[in-house]
Amino acid sequence: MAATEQTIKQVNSLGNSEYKYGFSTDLDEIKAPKGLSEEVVRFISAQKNEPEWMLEWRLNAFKVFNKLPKPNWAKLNIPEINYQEYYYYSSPKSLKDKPKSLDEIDPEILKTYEKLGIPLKEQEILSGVAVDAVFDSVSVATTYKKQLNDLGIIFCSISEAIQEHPELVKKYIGSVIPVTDHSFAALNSAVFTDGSFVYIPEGVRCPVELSTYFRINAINTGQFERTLIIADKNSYVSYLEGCTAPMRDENQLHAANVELVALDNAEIKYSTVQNWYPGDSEGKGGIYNFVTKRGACRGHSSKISWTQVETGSAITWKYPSCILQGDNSKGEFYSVAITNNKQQADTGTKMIHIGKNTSSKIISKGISAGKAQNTYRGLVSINSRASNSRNFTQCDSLLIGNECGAHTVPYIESSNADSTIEHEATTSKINEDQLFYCMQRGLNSEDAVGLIVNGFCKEVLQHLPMEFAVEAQKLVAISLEGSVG
Amino acid sequence: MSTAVKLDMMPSKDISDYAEKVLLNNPFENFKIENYKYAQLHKSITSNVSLDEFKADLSSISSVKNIKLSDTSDIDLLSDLNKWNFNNADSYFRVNSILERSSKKIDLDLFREEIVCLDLSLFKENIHLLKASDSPKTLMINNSNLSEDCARSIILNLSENAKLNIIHYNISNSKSFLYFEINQQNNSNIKFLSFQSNNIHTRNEFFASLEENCSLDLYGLNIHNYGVNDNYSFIQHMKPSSQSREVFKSIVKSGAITNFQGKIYVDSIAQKTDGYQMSRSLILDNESKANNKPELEIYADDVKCSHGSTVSKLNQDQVYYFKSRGIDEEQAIKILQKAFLVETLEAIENTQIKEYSYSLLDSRL
Amino acid sequence: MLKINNLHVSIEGKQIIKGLSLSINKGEVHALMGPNGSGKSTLSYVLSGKEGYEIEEGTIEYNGKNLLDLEVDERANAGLFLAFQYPMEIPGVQTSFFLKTAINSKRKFLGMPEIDALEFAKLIKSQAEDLGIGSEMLKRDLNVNYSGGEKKKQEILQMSILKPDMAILDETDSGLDIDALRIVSEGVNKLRSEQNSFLVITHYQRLLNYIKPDFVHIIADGRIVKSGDFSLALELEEKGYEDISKTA
Ligand SMILES: Nc1ncnc2c1ncn2[C@@H]1O[C@H](COP(=O)(O)OP(=O)(O)OP(=O)(O)O)[C@@H](O)[C@H]1O
Ligand SMILES: [Mg+2]
Repeated sequence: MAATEQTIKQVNSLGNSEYKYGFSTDLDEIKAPKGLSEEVVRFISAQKNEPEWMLEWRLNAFKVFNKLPKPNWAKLNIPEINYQEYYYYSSPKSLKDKPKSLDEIDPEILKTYEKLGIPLKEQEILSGVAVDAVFDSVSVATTYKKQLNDLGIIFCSISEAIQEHPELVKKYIGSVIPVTDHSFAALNSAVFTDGSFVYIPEGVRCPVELSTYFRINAINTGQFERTLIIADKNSYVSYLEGCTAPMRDENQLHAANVELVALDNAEIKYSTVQNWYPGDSEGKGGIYNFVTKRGACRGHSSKISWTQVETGSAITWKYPSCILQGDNSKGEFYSVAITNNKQQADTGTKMIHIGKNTSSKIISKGISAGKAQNTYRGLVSINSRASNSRNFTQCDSLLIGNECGAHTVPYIESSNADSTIEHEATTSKINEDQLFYCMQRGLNSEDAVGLIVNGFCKEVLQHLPMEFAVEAQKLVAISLEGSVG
Repeated sequence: MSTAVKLDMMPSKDISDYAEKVLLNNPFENFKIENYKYAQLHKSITSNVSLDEFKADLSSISSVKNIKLSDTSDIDLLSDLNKWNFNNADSYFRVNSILERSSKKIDLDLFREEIVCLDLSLFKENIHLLKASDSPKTLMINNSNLSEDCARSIILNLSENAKLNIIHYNISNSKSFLYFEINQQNNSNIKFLSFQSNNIHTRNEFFASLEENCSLDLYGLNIHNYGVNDNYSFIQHMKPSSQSREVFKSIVKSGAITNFQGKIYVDSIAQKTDGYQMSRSLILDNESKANNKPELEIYADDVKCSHGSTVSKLNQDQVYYFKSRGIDEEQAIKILQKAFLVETLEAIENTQIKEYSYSLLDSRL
Repeated sequence: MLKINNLHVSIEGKQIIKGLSLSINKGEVHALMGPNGSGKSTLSYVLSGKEGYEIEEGTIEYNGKNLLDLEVDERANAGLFLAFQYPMEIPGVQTSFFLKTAINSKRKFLGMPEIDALEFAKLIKSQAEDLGIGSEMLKRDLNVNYSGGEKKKQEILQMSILKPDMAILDETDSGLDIDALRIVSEGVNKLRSEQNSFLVITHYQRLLNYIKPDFVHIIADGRIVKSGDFSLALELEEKGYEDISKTA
């Protein structure tokens, strides 16, 4: 695929460990007044011409946000966040009237995407990937719309969905992640700017991988996407999310909410490669990534599978979860989290078994280098009615150097005698014999580390769609540059 | 002061004030400390089943030295709370039981007998045990004779090269909250088994700090028909080349709850640490519950640490194998339950005590 | 002694045994041979009463009784023994303790008192020695970390001690070295009498050289496609299953 190949080329051309996407685009912007207030919430809603119910929903969420304390369970050192320091809405002016086709798009923006490895035009022609690109807060363009339309698949920005498909949005938004869940979820619900909406109708297998690339551009823009994916009975969809952000000194706040709903026999596969700016080697700058991702397997025999490769962000706080409500439903979580320099990550999953014969699988690989701290945190809970349920968890951590930390915090709760939970975890250092072997065969230490770490992560990477897997492998190696030697 | 106070924000000098105040109220109302996640301390647990009157009877073990009050001396300072890489405020019992009571010192090397028994019903104080020699000794700690609720700290200091085998019998219908602290100097080693059955409500905290080249084997054997049984362990490796091995096995039925929360902490200088932690539970019916939270917190890279945790029912293929050899289901289940637990009994070195423990287990199945 | 009539068995909706009939009389040795996946082990599990197998059709009579009415342990005590193709590992249970429990179960069933310790020690010592099983082996947990061959010997030891009327040996020869094969066969032959019968499942004629079967059956795709005497095994060794099935 063109996009991927370009990205790989760029990755290959990287001679040093500097962040490759560290450029920014000069554009005129429409910004909300700085800070967070009811006015800002109203401003965002008004900018988007939202119906009254949506505004009410946001305002209620804002009230909840003001009441909830910041979640504090993670093993993270999060500097006090001053919510008044951020802009909650910014939109390139030329997008105020949305483009009807790619030709109408500001060439500056297209150029930016090209640097990111996502030339929309080529993409449309060459690749099977439909891209709904989010540039700052507004969805720029959606390709492949027609083909998807013919199948009855709705793939658009959430803003558009609020206008065009209010009944679906109303029914499902906040049904998986309640507004009251925790303060980041409430904040997102109040000020979310854009994101993707997917609806796969009954019996339809989505023929292409749907994909969104996010990009944070404007200075001090908190980015709050809201994604909602609904797979109706007997349907299937695979969704890819890739993220890059330009280099900035100030920390940027990001709090996305992603909700998935799988009805009877439906399957959703959600893959993420996250390489947002992690900050420099001194820990300056970088994205704060506070994401809430949750899927509900509502229907019987439904399946939700999360795959994530988390290499970026200064702080990652993220627990893609599955609520296994339907009988025979399945949840999966495959994760690679790499932290280097002064990055911190606290990530994992929750598998809540409610229906009978439900099963879940968790494979987590954490790699910590430099002065980074990397924590796996996960919950497996089997309800007393969830007979014959199963979980298997494998959690491995790798330490590179002795200034970093690797931590494992699983919660394992069972109230059912017919169910089985198995959990295994290991922590070790990178195998020196393997390193030696590779270097004896002529690899330099960084390539050798990249190779070995990729082997360590293989079980997870192989769950990524092909076009992502290669990019992810490169990323794994790149994010560990400078960690040995 | 509200009891929902955020202890983790509190500087340690305030903790004693806090502990005092909290004692006056119901300490665990809204108690949200992570390390007590499953302990249900806010609930006053009363068992609505008929409690069994069983007590561990240690009288069959011969030539035992029973520790009396006259064998002890007074001691002031018990524990250096600051040496722990653990937020003091996160353990109510370790702070509280240390601050609350006077303490008695017992030097285990003063007794000639190989087996020494400490009956907690005889002491109202906290206990500070010392052992310096490498001569074999088994310490039995019995809280089976308690008739009332009990909160105690038991602190154990092992000097260089010292060795000790400990078995803790916790079979009582009272509520007991025990804080065990183990301080191991270089080359010392400990094998510790806590044998627990049918407590109304029990919380055991095991804190161990290991210096160089030590070994610690910590085992838990749990078999419960009622009550809440909560075990917490925190093992810190502070120097290189030590080994810790934890195995907690639990069987619950008829509404009993068993919990294991444990952490292995490896300091950045504690290279070559070998840490292993295994918690396994068998749940025999849907009224019962098992919660496990095995944690690793690791700051050194040249280490080998792992944990595993399983929750399941009895392996039905094994039951089938027994039956195919003519053994009926009831007996097969008994044997398999025993087989599941016996690994922990191997921690006992003294054959007399080992035999007694096996028979004790048989009587509990 | 054992009469299987038109047996149909499925697992999780998949038919494995599709109309199998077989009669074994007292004192007879039958060999059952057939390609991988043809249903040999499935048959042996069904005979021993393992759960999860659905008997869709057919009957199994054992000593005039309906075998399917009996629980697994009842079948065992009624003299039916299965030497497993893949013996179970049971951590925490000492081998000798397991043997004793099994013997006592049978004695209880027969209304006999428990075996006394000395008698038991003598019994297993001699039997184990005959099979070349060392006494330290008996102290280890049952089958745990036993080698493939050691597990098979363990199964035969259990058989020699329990003295079944009807023994089913599921590929007991696989994984045995040449000496072990001879020793195991001797164990079987020692038990062989007018009173007991064997169903020997194997892939190799070699075992049958030691344990001469009275009948040889070939199973393919869940039913017996050919039966004969010992010469059938020889023919099979020569031609392979494919040819034989064709001529069937
Ligand atoms: N639990 C199960 N679920 C689904 N299929 C099964 C199950 N057990 C066995 N089978 C299938 O049933 C068929 C017969 O298996 P069986 O073990 O009886 O073969 P076998 O004749 O003993 O083969 P081998 O010579 O390899 O030991 C095989 O196709 C096998 O895959
Ligand atoms: Mg077989």
